[in-house]
Amino acid sequence: MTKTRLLNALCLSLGLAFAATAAHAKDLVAIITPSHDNPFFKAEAVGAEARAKALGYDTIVLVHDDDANKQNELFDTAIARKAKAIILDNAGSEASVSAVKKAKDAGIPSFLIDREINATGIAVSQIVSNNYQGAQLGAEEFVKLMGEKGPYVELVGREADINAGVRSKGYHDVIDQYGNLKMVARQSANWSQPEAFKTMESILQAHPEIKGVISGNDTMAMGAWAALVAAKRTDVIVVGFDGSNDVRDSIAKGGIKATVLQPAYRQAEVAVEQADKFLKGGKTGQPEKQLMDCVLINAKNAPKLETFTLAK
Amino acid sequence: MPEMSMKPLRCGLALLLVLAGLAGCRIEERSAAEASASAAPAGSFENKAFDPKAQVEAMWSSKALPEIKARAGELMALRKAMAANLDAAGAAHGFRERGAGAPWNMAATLKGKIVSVDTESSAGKIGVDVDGDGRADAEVQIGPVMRGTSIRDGLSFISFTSYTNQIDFAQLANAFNKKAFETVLKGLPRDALMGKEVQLTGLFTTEDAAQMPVITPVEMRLGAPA
Repeated sequence: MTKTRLLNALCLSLGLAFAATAAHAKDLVAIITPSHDNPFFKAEAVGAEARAKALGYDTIVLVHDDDANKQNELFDTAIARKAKAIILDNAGSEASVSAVKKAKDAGIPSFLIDREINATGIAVSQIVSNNYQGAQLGAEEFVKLMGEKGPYVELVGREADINAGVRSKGYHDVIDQYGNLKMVARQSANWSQPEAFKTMESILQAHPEIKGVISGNDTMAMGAWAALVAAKRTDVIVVGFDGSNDVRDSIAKGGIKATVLQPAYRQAEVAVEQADKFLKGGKTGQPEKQLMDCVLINAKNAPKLETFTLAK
Repeated sequence: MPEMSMKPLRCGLALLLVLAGLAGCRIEERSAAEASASAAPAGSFENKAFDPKAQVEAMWSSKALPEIKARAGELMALRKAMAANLDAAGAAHGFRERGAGAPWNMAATLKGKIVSVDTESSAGKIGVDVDGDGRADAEVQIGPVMRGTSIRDGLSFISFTSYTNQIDFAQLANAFNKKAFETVLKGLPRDALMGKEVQLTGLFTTEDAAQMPVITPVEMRLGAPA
C-alpha cells in the first residue's frame, strides 16, 4: 500500500515537474495574415495554428489588414515575444521585404504562404499557390462557359498584391486568344465583397450587355453575384478564385459557375511543418520557393470541397 | 471616395483638382492601370528587364534537350512502371523540384500512329496509338496554344527560387512552350496528320498513373501514313 502510494506521489510530482518544464520550454510560433473577414485567410490561420499546436508549439495569431505599417509593428511584437518562427501571409511583395529581413536579423526565420516577396534568401520558405496555373484553369472554364464569345468584365484584386497581377495575367493569357471575347470593363475591387458589389452595380449600368464576370478572388465574385441577383441578371456567368465554402454553396445553387481552389489550409500546415523541421534540424529539405497547384471547382466536384480542402 | 475615383472622367476639372488634393494618387493609379490593363495585366509586377525568350534560347539546345533525351523513357514501358510505382518511375524518368506531394514531370519517347486530331481548338492535340490497339496511348499538344508548364518544370537546372516572382516564372514556361511550338510544331501539315506515323520526345506532368499523358513535344518527326 505505502509503496504504491509513494510511487503514485512520485509519478505525480514527476508528471508535474515535466508539465512545468514543458510549459516553460514551449516555443512560440507567430502566425500573421490579412484580416480573417476573408475566410481564405482565416483558413490559413486556423490551419497553421492547429498544426503548430499539434507539433507542441505555443502560437500567437495576428492580423495585419494588408497594411505594411501594421505588419511591421506585428513583426516587432513577434520579435519582442521571442517567437521562434513566423508564418506569414504578407502585406505586399515589396513592402514586406524589410519586415522579414528585420526578423531574420533578430534570428527569427519566416515561412511565407500564399504570396511571395520580391526577394529570395531572406525568408526560409515561400510556399505559394500556383496562381498562374490556377488562373489558366479558371479562364479555360470561363471561356467554355461563355461559348468562346461575348462581352465580359474582369474584377481585379488589390493592385499592390502580386497575386492580383499574376491571376490577371493567367486569365488574359488564355482569354485573349479568343477574339470574340471582349473585355468591356476591368476594375479593381481590392479583394472586397462590398466594394465588388458597388463596382458591379455601376458596371451593369454602363454595360448592361455583359455576359460574364471573371473575378480575381471569391469574395469579389460573391459581391458581384449579389449585385447581379439584385439586378435580376442571374444569366451572367461568374467565375471566382480561392475555393471558399461561400462560392461552393453558390455553385450548388446554380449561382456562381466555377472557382479555383487554392489549398490554403494544407499550405499553412506545410509551412508550419517546414518551420518545425528547420528549427529542429537547420533545414527544410525543400527549395525556398515552392509552388502548390490549384484545382478547378465546378458543379461536378464542389460537394467535395470543405474549408479550402478537396476530399479525395 | 471609391465610387468617385472609379469614374474620374465624370469629374469636372475643379472637382478633380480638389480630389487630387485629397486622394490624388489613387485617381492616377486607377486610370493608369486601366490604360495599360490589356498591355500589362500584371501591372507593376511585370519585370521589363526579364527576357525569357533569350534565356530559353541560351539553354534549349545546350542544356534542355540533352537533359530531356537522357532522362526519357519509352512511353509504354514508362506507363507500366508508373502504374507499378509512380515515385520510382518518377525518380528514373521524371523530375520535380518540390518533394513528395508534388506532381512529376516525366520525359518520354514514343513511336506510333496518329489516331485522332483536334485542330478545332486553338490548343490543338493529336492522339497517338503506340501499342497498335487502335486507341490513343498519349495525347500530344500541337498548338498553336500550348498549355501547361511541363518543359519548365521537367528541367533540373531550373529553380523557381532563381526567379523574381511567379510572373517571371510563368513567362519562362510560356517561352519554353513557344520555343517548342516554333521548332517542332509550326511546320506541321495540320490538315494531313491523321493516320501518319510519328516519333517524338517530350514531357508530361502527372500525379496519377491512370491518367492519359498529355505530352508537350520537344522533338518530333512525321513518317509516311502507317
